[in-house]
Amino acid sequence: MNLTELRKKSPFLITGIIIVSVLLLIIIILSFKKRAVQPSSSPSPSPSIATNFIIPSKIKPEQLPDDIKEIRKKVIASQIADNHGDILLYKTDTFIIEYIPSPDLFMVTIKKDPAEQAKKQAQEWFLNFGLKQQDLCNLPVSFILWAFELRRTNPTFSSLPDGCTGQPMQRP
Amino acid sequence: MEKITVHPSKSGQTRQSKSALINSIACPSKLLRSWVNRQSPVLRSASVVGLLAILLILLFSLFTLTYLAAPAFAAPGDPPNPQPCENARETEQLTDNWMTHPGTSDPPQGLKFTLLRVGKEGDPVSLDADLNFSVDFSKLQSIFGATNSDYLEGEFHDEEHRKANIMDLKSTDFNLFHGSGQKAAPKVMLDKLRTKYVKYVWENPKLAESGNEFSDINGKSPKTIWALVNDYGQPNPPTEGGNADTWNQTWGKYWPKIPTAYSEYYEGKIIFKEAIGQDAIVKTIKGEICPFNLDRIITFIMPEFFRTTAVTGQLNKILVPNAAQSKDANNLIKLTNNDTGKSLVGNIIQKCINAFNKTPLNKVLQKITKTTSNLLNPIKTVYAQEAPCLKVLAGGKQGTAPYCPLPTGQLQPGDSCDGQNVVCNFKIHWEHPNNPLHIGTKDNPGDFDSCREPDPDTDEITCYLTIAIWPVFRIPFLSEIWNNSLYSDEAEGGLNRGIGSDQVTGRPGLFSFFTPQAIYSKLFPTNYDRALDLLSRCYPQWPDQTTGEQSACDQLNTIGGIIPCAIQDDIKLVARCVSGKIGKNLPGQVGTDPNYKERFGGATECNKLYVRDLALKPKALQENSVIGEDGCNLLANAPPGSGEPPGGGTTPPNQDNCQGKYELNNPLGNFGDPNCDFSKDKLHRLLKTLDPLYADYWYGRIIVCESGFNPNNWLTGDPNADWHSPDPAGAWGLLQMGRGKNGQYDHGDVVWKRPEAPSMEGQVYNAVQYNKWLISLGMPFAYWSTSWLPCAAATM
Repeated sequence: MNLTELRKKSPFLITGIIIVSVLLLIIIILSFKKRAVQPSSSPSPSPSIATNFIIPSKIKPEQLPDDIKEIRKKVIASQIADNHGDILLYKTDTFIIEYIPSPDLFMVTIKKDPAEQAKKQAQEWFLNFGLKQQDLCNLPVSFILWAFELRRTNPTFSSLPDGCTGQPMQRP
Repeated sequence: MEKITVHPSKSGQTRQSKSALINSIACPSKLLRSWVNRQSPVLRSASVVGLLAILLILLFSLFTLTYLAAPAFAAPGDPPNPQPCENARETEQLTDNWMTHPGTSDPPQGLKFTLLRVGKEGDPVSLDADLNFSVDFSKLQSIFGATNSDYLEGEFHDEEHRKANIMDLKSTDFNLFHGSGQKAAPKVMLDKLRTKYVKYVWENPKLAESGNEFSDINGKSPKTIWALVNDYGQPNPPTEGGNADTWNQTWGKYWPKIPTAYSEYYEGKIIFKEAIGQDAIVKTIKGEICPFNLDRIITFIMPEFFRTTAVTGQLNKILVPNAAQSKDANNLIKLTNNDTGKSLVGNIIQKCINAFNKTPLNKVLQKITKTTSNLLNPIKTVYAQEAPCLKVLAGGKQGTAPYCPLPTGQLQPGDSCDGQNVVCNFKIHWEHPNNPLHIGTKDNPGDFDSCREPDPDTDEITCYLTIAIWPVFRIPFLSEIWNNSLYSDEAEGGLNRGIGSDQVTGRPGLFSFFTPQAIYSKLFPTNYDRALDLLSRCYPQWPDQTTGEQSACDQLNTIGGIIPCAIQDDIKLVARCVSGKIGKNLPGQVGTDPNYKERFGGATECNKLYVRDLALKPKALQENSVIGEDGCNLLANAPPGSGEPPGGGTTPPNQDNCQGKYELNNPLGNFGDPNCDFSKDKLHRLLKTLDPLYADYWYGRIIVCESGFNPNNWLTGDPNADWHSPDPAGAWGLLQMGRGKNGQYDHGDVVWKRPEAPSMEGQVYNAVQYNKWLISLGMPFAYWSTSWLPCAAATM
């Protein structure tokens, strides 16, 4: 191949190389972009609203250790009122503690801010019976924010007692 | 005597190699020359020729290797030799269909069993079982028959169609001659598809249709594709640059008869998923774990699926903008041409989805399979006719789907088939992967689900373990066909329902374009149809005027009933009269909310699934699946009922805050608990009564998210407020429902539960009833999906 031929062909060669390079570059960029925008399998949680749900206990009350079962009975026996089936155990201006026979759980309903402080007080009330913090997970105890406004002002509030983990029920 | 040669020293050899390497890098031809120079003259010339030949071969292979690498599926250009069942192809585009016991997520009867072992604590025991699984492969094919391809493409593969005299067809018959795609697509696109078809059939003489003869447009001179290519060469229509005159004398005479899609047979698989132990079974059904596969895999052949997929894919390409087309299934013909051949079974994507119990296929699969018992029923002769590989059902409910018998090599010791390999009984051997297990105790059952107390006499313990095995039918292209055929913004599969599918949002839909006439008349009945329907339901024993369905009579009364039509014995004559009184509103326009129109216009899931079921699935499948009866009720024209809410009508709101329990910051006051008798305990018990299946979900998730158990909760509907309900009437009560915008059950502005009708009326009842309606549309809890989503989003 002489120089003239080479000169004639070189623009095609250079164009070809450029096209291939550009295509490769596009593919690489696209693959990175695709990875970056790949939607997660679940919608991202709203950053400004607290979660609010009841976690079913992993352990049934009858499966609790005997000493915890006894304390549980004592907690329920401390009732101060029966509101059409809801057993009122403790009441303050900011929260109430109830035992709900069906579905057999303790519910702390926080009605006013500061919610986190109310939650701590409610947990202490339980601990005073001789329970450990971990026992509250399986008692079980759920913390509910009564008003939507409270969920907005306490976006990181958890329905679980401190130190508990759980998997709430899934959408059918 | 052996000649002694002196070898150069090791160091000299290294030096020589080094210099050769340097030379070769500097000037490769020198290396060749130096090597040749060392050989004898004869050898030298031979070596040069040989080397040149090698170079030429290498150069040539650069251009040809890609072709050589392609598998020789069949020798192109050979005379037709149809053997489709023996030459089925494998694909990874398989859709999993889990078989379950009807109405449950459990395995079919006989495939969930409990084994017991007796021994002393710690004794080693083995667990295994032999199961029988019977499949009628002829019926399996009828799940998805040829009729669907024929509807879309036209009956191009039928002999009558292939040999028709087009010139003598009447205009109506001519219209029927072509399918939907033929009518809608530009000629240039059809020509391309037909050219590809000819090329593929010619290259694959073992295809079922390679032996099909096509007559010319006058119904004369029938020829196979092979013969046509031999006579006229590969087609080059004028739209692709061919000469029109030559074309008209050759291929042009046959061209309107040439199909656009070929039918290629593909392999489906039956695999078995095992869950060992009650805990694993429950978790599998909940979708928390993916059970393992048993080793046994049964391969079978599905004839018609590819053609249907190809046709739907083509139509997508023809009709739908590129950006909206289906992800995978549009280029099947191209894909298959360049396919690298059969893939290994190991390459099958191991999808894991939940068992399902409500999809139509499951019910049909139940009918074609049997487990353990009832295996020895005589084979119906209709399914086991003559010997040829490809069989066509004689007719009847099962449709006219062709089918193949079980491929050879699939039977293992203990398996058996009828003489035709159509109805087969498979022996599935199961054994515990951790054999030997050890007998546990009542408190610590170990490998077992449970163990009893030791027998007081023998000290032996009986332990139990439950095993579940789900057969999973992996059907080729099923998802792709459905993806192509219907727009869907919802995955086909999901928790506790559906098939495994890669459905992606925004799919196009053929059937929104090609809604068959039969379905169109159901969606948009004529006034006469509507009148006849109302009359028949209101007066089921006409001419006896005893009323039947009250809702029909009510609708009839809104147009003045049958007055002033003459009473005649023939209900059709009365209907004709009554039809004149029905306005021109379409069914979707009956409701007050414009959104209801969507249910009839093709924009909702319910409608689309209904259209798909009726248009796409064979009659046998529809009948077996009871499609239309418990599915989408398209003939209803609004959410159930209308007018006043059923709950709270006699329990008016008051201003009692129940000893300070409620802040009554809503327009009505205490509407939710006017009797001050609400409790969370009662609420849970009521839910258990009204909706036991979802009671805990309502209680633990939706109500707690929506209202925090406050039956007087209220959210304004004022759009100017920071937080407001999408319903201008606001969101009310435990379930944050409206004030009737979406029908009679869309009422949260009522008492939570009427004391005098404890289970039947109120906020909770309304919500449960409304949700039942949503479930019937396949959208459970959709009403609450957006509003409670934020409060529990972290768990989704």
